[in-house]
Amino acid sequence: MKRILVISWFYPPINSSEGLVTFKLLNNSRYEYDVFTQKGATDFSYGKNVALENRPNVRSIWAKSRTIAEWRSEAIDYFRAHRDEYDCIMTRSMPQESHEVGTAIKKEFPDVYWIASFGDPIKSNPYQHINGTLHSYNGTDNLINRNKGLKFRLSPKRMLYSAAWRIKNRPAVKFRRYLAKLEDDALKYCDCVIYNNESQQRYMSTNDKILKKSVVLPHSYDVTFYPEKDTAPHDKVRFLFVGHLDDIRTARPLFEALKDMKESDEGLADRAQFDFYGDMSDNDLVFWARNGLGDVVKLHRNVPYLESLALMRSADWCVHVDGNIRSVSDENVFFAAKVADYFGSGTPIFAYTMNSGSTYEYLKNAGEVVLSYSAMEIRQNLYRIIYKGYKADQNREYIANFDAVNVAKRFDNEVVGRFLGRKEE
Amino acid sequence: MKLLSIVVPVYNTEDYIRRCLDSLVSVGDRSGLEIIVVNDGSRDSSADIAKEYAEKYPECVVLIDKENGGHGSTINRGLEAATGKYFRVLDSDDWFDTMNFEKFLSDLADCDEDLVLTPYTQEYTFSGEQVDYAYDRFEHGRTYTWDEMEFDENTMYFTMASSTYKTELLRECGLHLFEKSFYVDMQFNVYPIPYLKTVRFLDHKIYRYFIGRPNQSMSQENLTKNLPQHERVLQFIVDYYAANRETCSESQRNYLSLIFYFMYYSHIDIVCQKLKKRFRAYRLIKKFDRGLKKTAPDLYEKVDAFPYLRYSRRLGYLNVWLFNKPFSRLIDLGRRLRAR
Repeated sequence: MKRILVISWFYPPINSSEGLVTFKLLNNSRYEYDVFTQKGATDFSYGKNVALENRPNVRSIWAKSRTIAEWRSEAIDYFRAHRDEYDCIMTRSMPQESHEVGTAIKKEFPDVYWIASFGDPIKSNPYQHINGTLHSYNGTDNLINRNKGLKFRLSPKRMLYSAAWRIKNRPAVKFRRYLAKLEDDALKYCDCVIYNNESQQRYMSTNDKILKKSVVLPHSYDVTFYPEKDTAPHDKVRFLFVGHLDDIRTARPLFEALKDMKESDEGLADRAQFDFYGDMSDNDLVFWARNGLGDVVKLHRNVPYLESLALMRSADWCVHVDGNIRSVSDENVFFAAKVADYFGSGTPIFAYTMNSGSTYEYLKNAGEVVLSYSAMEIRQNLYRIIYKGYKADQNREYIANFDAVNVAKRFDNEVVGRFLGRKEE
Repeated sequence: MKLLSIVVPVYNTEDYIRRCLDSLVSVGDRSGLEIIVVNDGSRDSSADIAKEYAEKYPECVVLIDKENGGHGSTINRGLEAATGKYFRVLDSDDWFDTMNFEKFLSDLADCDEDLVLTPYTQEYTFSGEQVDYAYDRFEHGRTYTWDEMEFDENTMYFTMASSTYKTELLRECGLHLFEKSFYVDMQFNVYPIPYLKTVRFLDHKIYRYFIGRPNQSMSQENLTKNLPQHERVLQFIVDYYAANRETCSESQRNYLSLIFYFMYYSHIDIVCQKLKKRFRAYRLIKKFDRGLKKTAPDLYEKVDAFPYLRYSRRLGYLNVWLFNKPFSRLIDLGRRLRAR
């Protein structure tokens, strides 16, 4: 079998969830890959700091371009020049431009088998509905308004505001159309779609045709990346959060719970410590500072990927936070790659997330502590952990489903296998 | 003798029961605690989970398995089995704040009042919002007798989520809730009142009332579907009031009237505003109101203060049948103008 060409803007040494997910998948697969990527630009990533070497079955092809637009053209040109070397390509978002490359190649070479692997939804990302960057709060297309009735829809005031927003935000409207076309084209022309969780599959597969060619492959962890677990007991319970937080995916409920606990016990800092690595919203920072949480919650800068895995291993609990997107979706359509890394560390997870959706199911089945956004429920469980020594009863057998070896096996059988089956036909 | 018996009614709550029981068994000193889990014929794995806890904590968790009979039946059964000095109910999808619960238990050990009240919180878990319900007009830590408590329509009545009664008192009042019926918590709220002498308020928010879905609160269809049960419980309150009117003090009567107002107000709302069959609504409200006049004339007079009811009575309730919408709007407009 020929090598498979993988087109991904992010790939190690760039520290980005998308590239790392791809890395773990390909390096544990039994097939051979060329990854067309770049290492010049670190936009939208955590820097160029991942010291991971490809295994012999994977080869990185570095683009010369520094911008996404140039990289997109270079990727298409690369494929044209090496057409005979590949029968199958795989594109990986984010960013979404990689699927644009896929569409262009597929249109030019219809016999090429195209696997489109999606990180987050592109055309209707719940975050964009909530923060109103691409959808007006008065627009009927904004999912925030999905449950509003005819009175709202027919309201002249709403129509007026919505029209005014569209005029004022022409670039956003244009960009939204571009994203919609990009995703629709990708889903239409590709031969196989990879989603990372079932909720996303339900959210994005708008028709049976797409559903039939889709496969759910969760994010994975690679056990070989972790150092030995430090078994020495800590003087206090250490919680760790690694990653990105914002106003939607917010630490606020946790901070409120800690504030409340601090009011009851001044010595909380002697019993527990929360280390946050990564970004946080300004609002959360203000709350943290105003309420004097500095002794319990330590804030740190981003760290390289492998270092973050070592930190996960050495913590007593890993904290996972999901955005509450209930206003636009009944279930959480996101599955953060970090959760898989947390799984791999063997450290129990303390999570608060929407109580419906795949992430909730995964964490629940894995025996982790899964809570709602209620600060009091969070406080209740922190109390049990910090004061009563509660330990999670993890289901390692279930967690093994997220092992990169097992996920890659499924990828080989269900995705590449499908391609090989078609080729034989 | 145990200090506190907690009855946990369970019916198909496998997703929540662990949180509920964990919040109880996590207390430092479980010696004074008796947790009676009453499985009401669950069809999911709730009973197995409860059994697991009963085996793990035999000193404080008891499992009673029974056929399905509704919320009221589980409380009846729990009360039969309770051996604690005090008694309270915790629904299996709700939970206690362990930290506050420990403080509450420690304070409860020093109590000898008939009823101990604590604030509670409604948890809207889908949004993370919380709404606190507290008895702010009463002094915390103080023992009140009925004469020292004043009740008006703005007073929060003693809910199941906030009440810890003396077990002996509940038995003395003959508490027996309706089986296979909704709204039995209102029955629970009125039964002990004529027998109640002393009340203490403690400022420990322990009860977390779980509201898990945006539309969990009674949907319109459910409200109208369960209307006969609502009416049955309301009738019970009227009859209970009438039967105990003579033996109750003025404060107790005021308190019972308060519960009646609350329930009658929601009854009128369901019947007159939500019921689609207008003629049926007319007949129902007319029949009930006439019954009320006969059984408890003082309550009948008191609810005349509600403008909707007052004018409906003057019109012979014809508005309910024939022109309810404009009539309600007119009343609402009058209320707003008055407020201005």
